[in-house]
Amino acid sequence: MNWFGRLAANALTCALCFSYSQASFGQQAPAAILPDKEEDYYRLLTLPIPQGTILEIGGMATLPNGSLMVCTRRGEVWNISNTTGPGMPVYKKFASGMHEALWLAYKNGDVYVTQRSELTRLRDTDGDGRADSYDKVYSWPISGNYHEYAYGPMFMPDGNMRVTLNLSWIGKGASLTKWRGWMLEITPDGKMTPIAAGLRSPAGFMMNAAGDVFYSENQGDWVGSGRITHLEKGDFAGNPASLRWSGEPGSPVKLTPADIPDTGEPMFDVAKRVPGLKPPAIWLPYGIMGKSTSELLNDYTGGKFGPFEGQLFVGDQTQSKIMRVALEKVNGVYQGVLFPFREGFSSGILRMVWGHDGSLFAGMTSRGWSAVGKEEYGLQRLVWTGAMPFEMKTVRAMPDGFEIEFTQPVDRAIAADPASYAITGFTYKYHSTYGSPVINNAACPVLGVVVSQDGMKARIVADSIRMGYIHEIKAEGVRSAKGKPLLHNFGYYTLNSIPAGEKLKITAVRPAIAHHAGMQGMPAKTPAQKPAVAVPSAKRVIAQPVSWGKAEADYTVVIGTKPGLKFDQAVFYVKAGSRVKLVFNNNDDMQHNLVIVQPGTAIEVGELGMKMGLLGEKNNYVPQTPKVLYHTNLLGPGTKETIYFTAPTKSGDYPYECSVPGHFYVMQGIMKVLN
Amino acid sequence: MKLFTFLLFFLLTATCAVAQQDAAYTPVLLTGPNSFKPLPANWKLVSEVFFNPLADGDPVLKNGTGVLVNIPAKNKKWNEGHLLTNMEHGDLDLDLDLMMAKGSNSGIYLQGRYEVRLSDSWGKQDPDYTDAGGIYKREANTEGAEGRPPAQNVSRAPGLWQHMQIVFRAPRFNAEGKKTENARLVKVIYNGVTIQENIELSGPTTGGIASDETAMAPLMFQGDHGQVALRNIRYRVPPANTEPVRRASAVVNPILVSPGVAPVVHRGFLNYNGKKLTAPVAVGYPQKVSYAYDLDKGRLLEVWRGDFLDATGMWYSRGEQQLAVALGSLIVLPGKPTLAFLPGKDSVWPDSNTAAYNYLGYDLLKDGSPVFKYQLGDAMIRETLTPDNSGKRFTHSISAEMAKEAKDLWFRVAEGSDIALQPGGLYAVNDKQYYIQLPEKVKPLIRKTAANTTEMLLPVTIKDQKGGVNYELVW
Ligand SMILES: [Cu+2]
Repeated sequence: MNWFGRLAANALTCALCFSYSQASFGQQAPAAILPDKEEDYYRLLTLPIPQGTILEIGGMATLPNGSLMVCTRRGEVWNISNTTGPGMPVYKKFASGMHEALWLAYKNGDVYVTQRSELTRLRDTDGDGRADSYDKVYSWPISGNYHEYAYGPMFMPDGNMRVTLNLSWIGKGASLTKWRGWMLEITPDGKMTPIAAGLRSPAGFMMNAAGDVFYSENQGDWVGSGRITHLEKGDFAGNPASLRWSGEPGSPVKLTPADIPDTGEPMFDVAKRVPGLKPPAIWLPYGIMGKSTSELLNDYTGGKFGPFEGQLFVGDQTQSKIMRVALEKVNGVYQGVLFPFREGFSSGILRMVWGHDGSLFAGMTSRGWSAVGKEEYGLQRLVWTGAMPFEMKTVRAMPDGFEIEFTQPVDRAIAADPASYAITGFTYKYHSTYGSPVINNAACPVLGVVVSQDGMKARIVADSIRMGYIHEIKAEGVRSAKGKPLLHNFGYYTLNSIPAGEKLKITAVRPAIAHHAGMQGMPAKTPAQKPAVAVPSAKRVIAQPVSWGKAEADYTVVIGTKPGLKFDQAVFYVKAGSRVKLVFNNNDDMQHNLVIVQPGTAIEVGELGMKMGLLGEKNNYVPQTPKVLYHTNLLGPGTKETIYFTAPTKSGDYPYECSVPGHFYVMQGIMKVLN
Repeated sequence: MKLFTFLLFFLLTATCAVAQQDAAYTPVLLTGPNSFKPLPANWKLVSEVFFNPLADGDPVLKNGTGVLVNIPAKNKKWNEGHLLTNMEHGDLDLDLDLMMAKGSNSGIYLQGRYEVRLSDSWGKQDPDYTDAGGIYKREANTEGAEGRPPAQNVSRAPGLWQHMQIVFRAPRFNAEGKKTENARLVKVIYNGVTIQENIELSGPTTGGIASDETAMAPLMFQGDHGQVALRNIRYRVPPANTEPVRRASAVVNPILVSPGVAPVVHRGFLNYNGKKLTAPVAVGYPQKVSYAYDLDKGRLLEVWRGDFLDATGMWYSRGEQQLAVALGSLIVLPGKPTLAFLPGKDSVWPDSNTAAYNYLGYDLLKDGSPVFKYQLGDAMIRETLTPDNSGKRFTHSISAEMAKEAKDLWFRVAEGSDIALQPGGLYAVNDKQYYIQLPEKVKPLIRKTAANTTEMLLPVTIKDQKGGVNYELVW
């Protein structure tokens, strides 16, 4: 793990323990036991890439002989053999010249890739190791908009192929040509059937052992946070831009854009009265559990990769990490729990595949979309060391709460103490605005815990569990029978349905202590409470101060953005004590803010913003600290805000940054204050 | 500022500059006695000229005015027969059309002193300072001293009109007449490509009218070497500030694509006639010739000579335009479908075969050349363009398979303001912009279009379920 990843890990851990006072649970881990690290259980190895080979990985597949076939954003396909050593991997170019290949599949000796406008079959007819036929399986119209990415094919058991088409971006998601925002099914001879609509940025999809298809989604308009949705034919997954085509022949979706209310209610509630709208099986809280969900990878390694057989690994491009999902089907509806798993990858994870030895290969690129891992591209391999991490293996919904299953026996006495846990429910707004703050967060007091005889399971009875909500489940107090804390002590359960069954009779109800229930440093609220009215901040003055009288600002500074997490001005100059009017124009396609801070404190302030965790977005990622001098709000794409302030009287280099987690490391500039 | 905003800005300013230039250019009259010092006998005023690119021989001339052609006498002497303008110039923007004879060379001498080379450099892979657009060496006895080859060889075939623009900055002198600043070739643009930029000239080329340097002097066209023709010679005194200001924030390391030993196939967006096409493929050859083909419609878009592609717009950062840019000297073709079924000889060639056309894919030949495969009505088509070894021509061929006999399938070869058969058997297209060479015994259909252009079609006869035809695009 690089220092960067470690930093992020520490910050996250701190964020989670913030609400707990040390005294609130009596037992401390014995000093002799050092906290475990992810790398103690999953080792990250980097595969060398030859100089001059720009391996911005868009797609990957493992061949029957164990080689990797990798396609790139620059349209090349590489056959990489000897990926597990000993010795160096061997790179051979199989194909080139395609337009942005973002997915690769292998079937019966042929390689399939998607290009921007085409699903293409590559065939090596003369056996020289290079493709000599580039045949169109199916093509779709494109407008030329840069955001029109295409993904697939995923092979179905009957040999048909599924592809997904990203929405265009015109300051908001748009479906400029037919079937953008849809999942399509294509037969080997090129017949197309639309399957599902409502997609926005569907970079990852897969089929589980039961034959059900899931896709991953990125935060954006109509997508409050990242999510994983079970897609069945006729489903509408949430972004209405795609519904422009629902009236076309063959469309299995009947909803029209007018059917979708833009009220900001939780999606689950809207779905109750809009049949066909499909809430996700898993929400990925933005900023904590990634920012750009990518690949979904089923663990079918038969235990070669550790104790998580049958579970789902989820890549994240921005945060260069992998998360873990355990799904279950309750009353016919998919839902489940999401855990952190492994961070510290070298670039943005787009693709993951299994090697023949059960190790996980991560294919990465971050070009133009900054990632926590600073490399422009990379290929890394994650190998289980064989040691058993102490983890929550899974969480299941129960009629009266949740059941946590562990990978190792717990200390039963500690695990039976309700104070070892904290549960908070929350959700997001469903609306046309980009992203969403966390809303309706409320504590779910733990009423009692029953630990199984073998110490592998803890049944938690909790109050105020809500259907349709995400439940943050923290188990910070839990220790293994050997006294170890959990490697990752929290998870997020998306509860779409509560199973029927017998409820436990809790005899000794412990009163819930308010501060136990707090989430990420913010006092908990009950749903009935009104949200606090935002107090105008002197650090964000959005109208010209009356005290300036009729005088104009001494300086008017207009700052926009550039792709790749940059302000379009790296520096601007003002005189000490002068009146400054600053216009921040967010012309990017993601959220940013602009925060001016004390000299030398850009990273410090950014990290404080990161510690705001789930409530960061609601608070514009601006932490309460004297280090912050002036700031704008968090601005959605295509919006601007003007702030007025008086420049510091002391000359110096005052950094300005976007304090969104991950952005602040690179998205910085300097306000030079001169005497 | 985003890269492409910058490029766009740059293109716009460039376009404006050209428009302004056009307004301000002074045409040098080739008919009147006022433009040049007395015409030496080797310079003739004609209305048309043609040099055969494939064989030596005398030029074909047509009486009249408009074109100056130089035919040096057999007993020509060194440094004789140059053409000098009456006009004397300092800083100068010059713009002209030129035509080379096979194996010939000549030169444009700014202020009669600094030579930009004119030469038949057709197909030459590694140009040196003696090639077209090269800056000739400074000193007579030193090989190559200060000589500058053109950045790319974008020379077209002899007998074709080529276009050159030169931006020249004269040397500067102080009050005592002492040189304070060297002369400079700000830019040489040949056939649309900048091949020299900001070259300082320490002194005159040998062979000029004088070895000293001065603020004002006539322009000279060399007459003592080989056959060359000139027309549309225009000049102006450049405005004070002609150099575009580059913004530091817009500087991005370009991502260039070039073929190695094998051709490069590249799919990405391309601008064609001002419109962004979403399914073109560009193919670049090691011989430094390239073409772009539209998979959406089965049509050849353009061919070019010189470097292949700039893919910065696709591969830098997010690649927001997804746009590649051809780097060489383009010949933009009319972009109609290669093939069509025509009910009659008078039927209009379609802009698109619409649903009758179905792109299937492409195969790569052993050398890496793509063969485009598509269905057109009931016919299965394979279409290729392959260059010869010297990169002087593309062979454009199609083969068709069809269950039934057909005589109404046509191959559209060319369209231009004119298509004229030249002595030697080449057809010159569009005022001698490029040539078409047909296989022996193939009889084309040449006809007027509704737009008052001329087009050339070849019949594709399907016999025993097979047919095929080809032509060569020579330029
Ligand atoms: Cu930002």
